Amino acid sequence: MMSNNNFLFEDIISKILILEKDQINDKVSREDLEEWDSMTHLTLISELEQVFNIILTDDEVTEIQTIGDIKTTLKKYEIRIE
Amino acid sequence: MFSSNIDVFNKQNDLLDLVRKEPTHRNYWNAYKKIRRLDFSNIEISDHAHINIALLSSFTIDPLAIYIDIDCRLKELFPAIYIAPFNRYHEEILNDHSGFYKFNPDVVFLFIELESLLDDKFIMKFPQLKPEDKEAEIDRIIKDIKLLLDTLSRQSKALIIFSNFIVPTFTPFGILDNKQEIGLKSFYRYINIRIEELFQADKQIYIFDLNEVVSKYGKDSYKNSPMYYRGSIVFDELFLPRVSYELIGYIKALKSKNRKCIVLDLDNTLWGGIIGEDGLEGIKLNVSYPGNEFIDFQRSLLSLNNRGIILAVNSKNNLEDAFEVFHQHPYMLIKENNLAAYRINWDDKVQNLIELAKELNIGLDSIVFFDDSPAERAHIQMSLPDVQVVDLPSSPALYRKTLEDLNDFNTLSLTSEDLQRSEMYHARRKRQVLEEQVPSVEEFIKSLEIVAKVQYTNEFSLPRVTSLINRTNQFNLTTRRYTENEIHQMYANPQKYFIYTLQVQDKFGDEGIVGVAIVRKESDEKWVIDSFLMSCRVIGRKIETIFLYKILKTAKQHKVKILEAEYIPTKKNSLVKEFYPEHGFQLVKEESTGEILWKIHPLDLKTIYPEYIQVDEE
Repeated sequence: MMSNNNFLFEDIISKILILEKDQINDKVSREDLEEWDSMTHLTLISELEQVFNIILTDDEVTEIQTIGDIKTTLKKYEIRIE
Repeated sequence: MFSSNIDVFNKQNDLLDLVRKEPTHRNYWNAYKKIRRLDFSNIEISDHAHINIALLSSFTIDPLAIYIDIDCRLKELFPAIYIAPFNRYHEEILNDHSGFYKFNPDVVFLFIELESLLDDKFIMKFPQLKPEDKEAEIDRIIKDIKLLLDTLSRQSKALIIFSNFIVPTFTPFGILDNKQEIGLKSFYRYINIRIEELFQADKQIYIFDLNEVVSKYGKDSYKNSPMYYRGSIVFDELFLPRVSYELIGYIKALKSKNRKCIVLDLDNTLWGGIIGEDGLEGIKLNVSYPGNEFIDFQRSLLSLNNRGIILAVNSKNNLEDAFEVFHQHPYMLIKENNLAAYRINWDDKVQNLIELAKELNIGLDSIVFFDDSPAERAHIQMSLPDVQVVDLPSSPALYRKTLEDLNDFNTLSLTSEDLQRSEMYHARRKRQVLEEQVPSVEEFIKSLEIVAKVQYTNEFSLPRVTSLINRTNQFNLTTRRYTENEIHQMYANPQKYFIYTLQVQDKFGDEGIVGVAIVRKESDEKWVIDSFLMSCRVIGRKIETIFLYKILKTAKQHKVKILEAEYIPTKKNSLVKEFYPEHGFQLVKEESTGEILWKIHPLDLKTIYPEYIQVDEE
């Protein structure tokens, strides 16, 4: 069974980055994905913050480049995504 | 692969369904992005449904655009959105070749932070400034805004919505802010008041009370501070739907999607309990608790009624029981004469509602329905999706708030007809009773003692003229729509245009202005009737003949040789297809599109209008 965090994470990523669930993997990056522009990036960060009730540091916001990076960052806040 | 038009609509609707079900930020975002990828190029969108919306701002406004776009689509509009480059509103407005003007907006929303108009250090130095410096700064800002908005209104015919400034909650003076001649909060408030005053009479520029909307939501939470520093995004995602909701109020008014009538259930809606069982003494309707919630709700309904929203009743009850409350209950505020129509019987409420709409001559899409019974509500919503069925909370303590939170009764101007509408409908109800008693139509019309008054339009009647031009569908020969600003320009140019109004009264009351005609003077010899329309509530009383005759008469007085008149068919105006030939006009030509051009020679004319209508000559 998928955990609630996993479900929310996938829901946010797929809806904000306009990806099908099977297109989501750790390697998807800002560089490769045209949709992932700066407005989208800020929206994505804000969604994660609202849903998981956290506030990312300035460094984290600027350093996130891939979906994998997001998971790593969330882990720091004890939010585990499989 | 070729995808049909239906496909595009279905895809859009699926995306909107997600938003309807779960109006979260990511669903809005997702729907917005995906709808933008759909190809609407092969789809013909009617002028009525299409709207160009421009957003100009001193901060990143893109997130709000998403909500405005989707909320418009949820109202069956097809918006195109232009977002001016970040903080470039000055250039966009002052340069008449900017992308903004090329976009040709119908509505412009301006969001400017006061801070962006001030020197960087102004607020910081504020406690040290002398009152005259502050006043000079206020004057400068007002001048700036006036120049900006005047330029904009000169170069665009769009409806201009300027958001006022958010009064800060922090002031360096703390509890002493209002002990200063001009405290920091007063500084903001003065500017807001000055702007409101400046444009109070303006027909094109509207001031949006953003400060109030923010206050209602909460000044502590409307702003997402991290997002503000990261990307100049001011509004928190949870606040966005609230701003959008308020702004859509202007769009609904502009696109005539406003509601005109509130239809009410009685038991447990206008009073507590059931009149048929509890009796006059048993129902809850009182100045003190319990029962005061209903009085409060009625007060609010009546305030809307007094501004022109009509009230009607649709209730399962014995008519005598219900009327006993209307006539005899000491605390019943809504009286029978506040009701434009009623269906108080044991029939199906859907059928009742259809009949009410017909009797009142309004569309089902003009109706808001209040009923405490979830079953009745579901029944109406399913059978008549155009009716707005209010999701009434079970506690009557929330009725008033629910009513006041609706944002559906806005119009762009308030006419004297609006203020008298309730009385007019009451008079109409009496007229109908008479019609049923009198044998022939002519007898009936005669007994009404109609007085028709045709005048050139004036400053006071212009809002009503605009409203009729944009709302009238059935008795409308050309269905040309004009903005209030365009009408104003015609009015200011009597060399080229005559705008006539038709006012009607009878023994039951004044109907106000019910008809408009615009005549375009092509030359001294040739005039064209550009628009000719009448509200359907006076159709069938031969008044149209008088109205037309009066135009012919002025043409004759001006020695006009030829008066042309057009009929442009729409889905709704077949009623008037034969209007011109019935009044002696001759055919000039008929286009394959169904447009027909007629002409008449006013100088040869001897039309006589029906003798049973009195004409008030000016």
